[in-house]
Amino acid sequence: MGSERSREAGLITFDQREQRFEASRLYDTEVGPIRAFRMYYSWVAVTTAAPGLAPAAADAALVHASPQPARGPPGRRRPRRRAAAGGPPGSGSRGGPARGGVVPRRSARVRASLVARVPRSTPSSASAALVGGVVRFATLAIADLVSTNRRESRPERLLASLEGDEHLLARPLSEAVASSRSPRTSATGARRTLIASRLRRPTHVVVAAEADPPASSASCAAAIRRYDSSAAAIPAPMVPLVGALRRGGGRRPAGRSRALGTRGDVMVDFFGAPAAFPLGPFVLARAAGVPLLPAFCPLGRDLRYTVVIAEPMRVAPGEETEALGRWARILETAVRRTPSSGSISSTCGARPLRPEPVAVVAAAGGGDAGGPRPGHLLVQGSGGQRWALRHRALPGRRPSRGRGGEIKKLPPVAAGVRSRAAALLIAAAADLKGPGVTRCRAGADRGGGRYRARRCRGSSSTRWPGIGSPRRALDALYDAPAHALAAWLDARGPADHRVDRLRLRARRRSASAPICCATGEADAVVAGGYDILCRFVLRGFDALRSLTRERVRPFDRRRSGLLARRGRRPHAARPRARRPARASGRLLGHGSASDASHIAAPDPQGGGLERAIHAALGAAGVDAGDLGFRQRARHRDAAQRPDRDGGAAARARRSGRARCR
Amino acid sequence: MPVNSIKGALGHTMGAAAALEAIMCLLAARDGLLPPTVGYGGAGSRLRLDYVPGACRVARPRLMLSTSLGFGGCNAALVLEGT
Repeated sequence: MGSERSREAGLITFDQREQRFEASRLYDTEVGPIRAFRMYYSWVAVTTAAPGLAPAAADAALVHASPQPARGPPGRRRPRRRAAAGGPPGSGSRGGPARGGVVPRRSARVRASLVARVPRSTPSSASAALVGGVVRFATLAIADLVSTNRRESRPERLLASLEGDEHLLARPLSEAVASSRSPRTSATGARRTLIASRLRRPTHVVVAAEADPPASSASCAAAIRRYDSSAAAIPAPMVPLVGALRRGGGRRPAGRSRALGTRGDVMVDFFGAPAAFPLGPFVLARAAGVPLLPAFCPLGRDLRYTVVIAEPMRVAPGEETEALGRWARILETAVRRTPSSGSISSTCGARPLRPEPVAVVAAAGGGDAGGPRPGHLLVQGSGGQRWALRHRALPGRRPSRGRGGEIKKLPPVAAGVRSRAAALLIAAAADLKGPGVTRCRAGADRGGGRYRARRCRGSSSTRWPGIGSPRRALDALYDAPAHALAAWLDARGPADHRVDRLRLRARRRSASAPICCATGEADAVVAGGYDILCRFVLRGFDALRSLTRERVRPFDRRRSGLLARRGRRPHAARPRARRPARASGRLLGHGSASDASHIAAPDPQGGGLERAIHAALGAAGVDAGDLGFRQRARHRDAAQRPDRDGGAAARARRSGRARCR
Repeated sequence: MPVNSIKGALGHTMGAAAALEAIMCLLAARDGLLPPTVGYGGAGSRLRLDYVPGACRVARPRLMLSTSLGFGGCNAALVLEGT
């Protein structure tokens, strides 16, 4: 984490005057900062210097990092024992995919993908081994991305070989570099990010280009020209370009990168079956007029990476999809070489994402936020069902903190939990194991809960090089805290932890809880939100220019500073019919929308919030004029302007005189 | 329509903020008190809203709207009904 302490400050700055972000410097990084940034912005890309480039062109290559690990990382399911048995970890040796769990689902997806693409004559044992290899290597690669467990004193040891580096010096790229335009290396998967970060190449984080605006628009072209002219002074030339692309459309784009989900994916033939690939990098390459450099990082059996660089591709206007098809052919070639390298896993799950059941999503921080008294929230589903949503005000524990607000000593309830994140979560959610959750679980037992109890058991005899144990690697995955909490609560349902945008976690978790109950995926749901106040968080806000040395005035016209506080608020939800309770209110409807206008600010016109409000009112079946009170997220980030959401609400209210649907 | 925020009183609890605010709405309806927007120093635009400055207001709203904004341009809204 040394790089966090020394270099991430100032990594991303926000230009108040231009209202845009800039990565103001290159920085050496290890995985830590990237992981943290990905937690906040699940849609980041990582730029890195490709090996062999001159220092002047050190920022020339772009590795497009897929956010897939943030959505579906493997869970903690005794990988050692399964691996030792020769089968894929969590592949369901009991026959068929196991219920719940991320690894079994991933295995099932890989298996389904193979069935669609591999001839039926393939022996089942070979197919099973291939599935196991894909999942295992993908697990390691993802763990490499999000964990700091696999520390190497010499990270270059993780690189087995580099193939195709001559393409880095090919003429088109040299011309592009000479003209200060950025050739980009496009790849998907965590391994690229790993290589980018582990090899201590100059690395910086930029906002992924998610937009496909009319890139030839005057504003975008002007921005690109401005970027060109100032490339020498800006060490991260892609950032303003990306920002320009993002801002150029001003409306929901037709193409998005994978980083924002699969909405912008294009179905391309892949091993004889359609698979979704992100179009964003190709749109960006076309818009910037730079070549795109396919690169892959298969993971070998020695758990070292091989960087394979293919011939640069030019993307002509209107031929983005065709270029994507060519890229898929190149990927096929790479996959054929190392079919178990995990490359398949990034595509087999590329079908449009759907909401997955969530049974335990509660997470927690240190817990010093004041809270209301205990009560119940009555939740009403779309079908008229109602559930009691019990919320409890957790007593304020004040664990000792170190510099920057980090918790130094965890409460004893988390003793023995090696993962710091999981320990924090369990410590803060300890009160959930009180009467509320006990009753919920009792109800689940009576109802014959669908899911088997799953406990997290450690393993240590089979060691992965440099990791210590698979458990340590899996401990650092995104969903590990949720799984740990599920095990600690002895929850019997699937556990998941989604990376959501700041402040929306609890809201979306609360909204998903009744859905989860309604679909029968769980008998009871623990949902909530959390955030940990630590040095990185504060530095992130500092980079956003949200902090101040003056008096904090977060609501003033002369806004200054941010009043940050640690908090967590888990809920326990279950069908009302099983436990009628006195309720504080009802959730009539919810809505959400994304305008992707800015990394830290809403749409200046409040369009996204307006759509969300309309959706919520429509789901609730009430008129905007009937509202009697409105709570608003009035705590602005540095990039936000006052009263944007107020304007959206006012418009929604005005337009909602008629019934909102 | 009264509009308020509790972050001035509780601080920005980040990931937990939205849940706290939704609970505040329910408790406001239950207790018949709208919490004030602590630290409110005047609107930054010409938008005229009832920001509930200064002190609690006695009111018992039936329908409430809770909105949240997140990084990346994410927006969410809940419609709540007090009992």
